[in-house]
Amino acid sequence: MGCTLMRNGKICGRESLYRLLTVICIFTFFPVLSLTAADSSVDAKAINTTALQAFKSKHAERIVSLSPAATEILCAVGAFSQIAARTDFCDYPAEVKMLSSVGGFDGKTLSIEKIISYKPDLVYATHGMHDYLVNTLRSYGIQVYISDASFVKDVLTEIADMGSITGHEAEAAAVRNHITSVLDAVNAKIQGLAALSVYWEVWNSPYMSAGKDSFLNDLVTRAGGSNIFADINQAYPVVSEETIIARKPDVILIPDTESVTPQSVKTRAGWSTIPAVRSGRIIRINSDVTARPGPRISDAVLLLAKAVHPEISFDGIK
Amino acid sequence: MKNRYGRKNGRYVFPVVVLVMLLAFSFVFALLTGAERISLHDVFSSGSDTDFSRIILLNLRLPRAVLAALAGVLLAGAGAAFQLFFRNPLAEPGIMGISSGAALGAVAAGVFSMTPVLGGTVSPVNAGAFCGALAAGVLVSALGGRRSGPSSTVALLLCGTALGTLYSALTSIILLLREKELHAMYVWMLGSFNGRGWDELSFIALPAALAVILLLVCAVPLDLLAGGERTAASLGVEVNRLRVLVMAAGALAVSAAVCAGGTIGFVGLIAPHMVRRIYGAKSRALIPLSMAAGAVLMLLSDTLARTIAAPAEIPVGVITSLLGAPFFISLIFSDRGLRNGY
Repeated sequence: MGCTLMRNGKICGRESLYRLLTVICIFTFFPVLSLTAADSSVDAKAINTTALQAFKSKHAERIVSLSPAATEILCAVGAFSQIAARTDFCDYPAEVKMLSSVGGFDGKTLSIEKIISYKPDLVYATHGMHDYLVNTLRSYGIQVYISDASFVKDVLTEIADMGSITGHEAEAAAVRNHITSVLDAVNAKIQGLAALSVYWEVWNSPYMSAGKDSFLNDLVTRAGGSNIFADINQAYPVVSEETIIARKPDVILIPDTESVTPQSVKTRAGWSTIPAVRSGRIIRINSDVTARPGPRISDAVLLLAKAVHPEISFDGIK
Repeated sequence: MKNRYGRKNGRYVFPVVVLVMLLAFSFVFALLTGAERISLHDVFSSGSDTDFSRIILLNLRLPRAVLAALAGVLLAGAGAAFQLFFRNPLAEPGIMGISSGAALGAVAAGVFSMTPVLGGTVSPVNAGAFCGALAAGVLVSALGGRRSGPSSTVALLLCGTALGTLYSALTSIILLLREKELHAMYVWMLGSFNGRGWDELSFIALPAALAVILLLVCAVPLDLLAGGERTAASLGVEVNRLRVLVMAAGALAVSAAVCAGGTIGFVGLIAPHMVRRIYGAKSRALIPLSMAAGAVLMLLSDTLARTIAAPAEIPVGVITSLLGAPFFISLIFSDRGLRNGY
């Protein structure tokens, strides 16, 4: 193809080569361009600063919370009575179920009308999935706070911000102190212990784990484990099964769903050489506690520390 | 020697040899490359079942390579049969709504946490995909079969497209209602052989074998159909029976393929066209040659998917589309493609 130089007295080779190159360029760059374009529409930092300024003297009284973690943070700082509405997925603490719900979680299933009908002064959104609501809400004069927590320290900042926005600075400081003290206590216990390697299975078909930029990676590290896929930049990458076996994890963490059990992990072909499989350290983890960047992160780290280091007692920590 | 169509039988010897060699090469290449380095010496000398290289080669790469090749064979074979039967160059497993049916089955099984099939060896998602594809195939055949005569194939094609859209809508509804699984299911739908092994292979072996046999059986009557339904009918081809055969073979093939690798686009469409453009092959040879070409495409794409970002993996469906589309278009405009009637 493309190598015939003359056809009907016309030079074709170079022309078809150009055609080929153009086609390849279009197909290679189009998806790349659309990927980068999708990410940069909302400046979370600037929007949050504006919200913090706006609620300096007069605190937010009618907050619509658009994620379970946001609802947990608001309740933890004592702003339960300031929540106007939650989502269907907000289930902790139990009293939030008394609040009315705006619907699902993803921005695309939420109705802006429904959100506005609660006459909120603040909408507490999540970076990414709620991006496309942000500009519309702000154009109606509604302040927006965008949660963008990739690490434990971001959650601590967010709790402080919510304390100041809702006028519960003291409670927010107490929550932060509690979290930091638990994290420090866990850290003191695991000091000097060898970090055990951990494979966190987010999903099994295909195998997906947690990379460097994930919240889970931070939790595992703080619990005295070392994530075997910390070298991957993506947050939730599809990972090679060969590499899982080659990296010999000491502990395997699986979600507490019905489709994967410690027994089914043990029977996977070729997994019998993995130390975690041989020692039986395949542990189910409650994903509600670990997946939500909210006030229960200290519980999550404690839960993980107990899983990673069953040989030591974490009894004193609460 | 010429057969009764005036074509030389020896015409396909060279392409067949080249394709078989390519197939063998891609298969061996798939076995030898991966995220981790393995030592062939250890594989053959140790004899111990706990040796790392042996586990990687025999438990991971071998079943995955077989699955990828098989999925390529099935998708390309079904694509070729559909293109011939509908005499439509755009026909492929997706156009009959079978792939969308598979996705719906997978999402339903994954989201409503169905009990694992076969003692938990085959993931419910993959088993759900198999059932979904099969059900979609049966439904579209049953609906399309209500019409007879020359318009029936068009009716079948339109029904398939409409049903496919319906399944996609239902899939989206389920995913939006159960957003927790959204990301995982999205990744599944992009297609990947990651996490599949001997269990999936033994699960699909029977339907896959049956599908391959049926597709090859269809080759001769489909060749006759190329001259038009009336001509074919006068030559003794029963179009209605052939339709049942093609639909059954296609549905089985796609069901097995999606169970192996998820909904992998484009291979079923381009493999038959590649064969046609490069070899100028007509239908009797088109189905088997497309199967081999599909296997080569899928093996190379999967090897790339496994290694290009190691230890992370890329969905194989992304590779087949990203590389397949420009190659396909360049083929359409190439001198060779023009000579072969496009």
